Amino acid sequence: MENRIFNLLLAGILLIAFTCCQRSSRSEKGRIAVVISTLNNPWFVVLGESAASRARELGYDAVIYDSQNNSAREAEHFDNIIAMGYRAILFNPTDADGSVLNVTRARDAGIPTFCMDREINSRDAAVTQLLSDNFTGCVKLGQYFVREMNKKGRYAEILGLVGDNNTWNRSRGFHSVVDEFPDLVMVAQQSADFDRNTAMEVMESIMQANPDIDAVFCGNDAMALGAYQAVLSAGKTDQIKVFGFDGADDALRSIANNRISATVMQFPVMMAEMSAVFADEYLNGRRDFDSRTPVEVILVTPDNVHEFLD
Amino acid sequence: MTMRRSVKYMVYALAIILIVFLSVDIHRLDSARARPASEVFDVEVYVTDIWENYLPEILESAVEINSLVRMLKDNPDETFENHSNKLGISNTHYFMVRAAGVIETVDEETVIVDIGDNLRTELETVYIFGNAIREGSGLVNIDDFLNMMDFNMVSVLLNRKVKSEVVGPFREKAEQGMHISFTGAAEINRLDMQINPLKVIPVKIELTHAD
Repeated sequence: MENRIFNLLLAGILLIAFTCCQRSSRSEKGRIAVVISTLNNPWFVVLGESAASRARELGYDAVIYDSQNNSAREAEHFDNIIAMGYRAILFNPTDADGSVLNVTRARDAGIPTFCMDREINSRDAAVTQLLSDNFTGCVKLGQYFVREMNKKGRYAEILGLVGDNNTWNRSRGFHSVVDEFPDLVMVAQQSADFDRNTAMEVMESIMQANPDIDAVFCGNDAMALGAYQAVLSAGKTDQIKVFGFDGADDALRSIANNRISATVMQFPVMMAEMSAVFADEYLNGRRDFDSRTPVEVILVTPDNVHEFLD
Repeated sequence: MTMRRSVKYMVYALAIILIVFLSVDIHRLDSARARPASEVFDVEVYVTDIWENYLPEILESAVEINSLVRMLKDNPDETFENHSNKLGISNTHYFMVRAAGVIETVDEETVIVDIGDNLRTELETVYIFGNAIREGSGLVNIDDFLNMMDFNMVSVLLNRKVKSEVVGPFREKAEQGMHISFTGAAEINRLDMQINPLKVIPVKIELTHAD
């Protein structure tokens, strides 16, 4: 009987000790939410996991939420995050306008938000927004495009998500250069939602309507690889040059193999990690953040692709 | 009876067509982007104000290229710190620069100027793009903009002004052997300094014939 009481007491003490230890290790610095627009795209998986991993290194619990490119689901995540008292949000929005309200609600609830990679149309809802300098990247890509095309030809553009500012910053950067050359004529411009399979289908229909095009500019590498697949199936790899954006591994290998002409290298790991660091600094009292922190991107062509391959 | 039914169906069909027509608003894809601020922010007025009222004073304090090259060789960190601007996390720095010299060659895309000290400058006359003027001038603060789109349009319009108001007239007159003094914007990558020839987007040019 005494043994049983002793065992029960011991078990109780161990349980309490374990719970206390766990609580102190889990909640010493609190929880940070990482809200990602979609985890269907490997690029965003890297972004989310890098942010969460850096937040954990800094002593926080980090939980990743997948918005599945659905702004209603994103709003539900914010409801839960606010209710559960997270300390900060590392955020990759689904929509430049639609996501502003979520970030504002979090701010009003005392939870700072740090946008990563995708922009929201607000100066002050988020503490800061770490964004690839998409426009400048596409200015560089546009100049390379012009030279590769010898300043003339017919081309198509495949856009990403129409509601995403990155889509238009890339398109605007590209057109700020290419439109200055009147013999470069855009014959089609369609959205493929940053999706590889959709881009393949879009490219097939573009080639049917415009069999003589010389190039296609795609708003990300997934779409460039999809477009290249369509070009390959049509037997037009010698005729149509494909240009992308992101610096995805598959695209880099395709550039090295002369399948894709060029891309622009972004740095998602750096953006994600810096967001976590900024959140930590903010929670420790820093307040002097710019509303946006553009991150430089690099043009990748067959001339320098070896610098980026493992 | 049949006649009345046909008329009834036609009225229904017309009503449906009318509802569908009034419900659908068709725009070009590139005008469908999200831009609430762009509709209240007049970028052309903003850029004209900078161009006419603020940029001339900045040009006065541009660093001389010959000195800049020496300073970059002797003390790069201090030179980048004191004479350039950069945007966010980046190795690219933007400078406002000036020099005087003699036109060596005029080709399809550039004008090469010998500025002495074995240095040459490549004045861009076709590829006038990017953020060199906006960032080099230090006049435009990213925090003043609701989104990157508006911020980037400032560069686009500044570059267009250079093309129409500076480079256009310059290309008509520029000839090999002419004396030239110019002020403009240049970008230099801290990890890969290309300074001879330094590529410059000209903002102000004065030409004189050789004696």
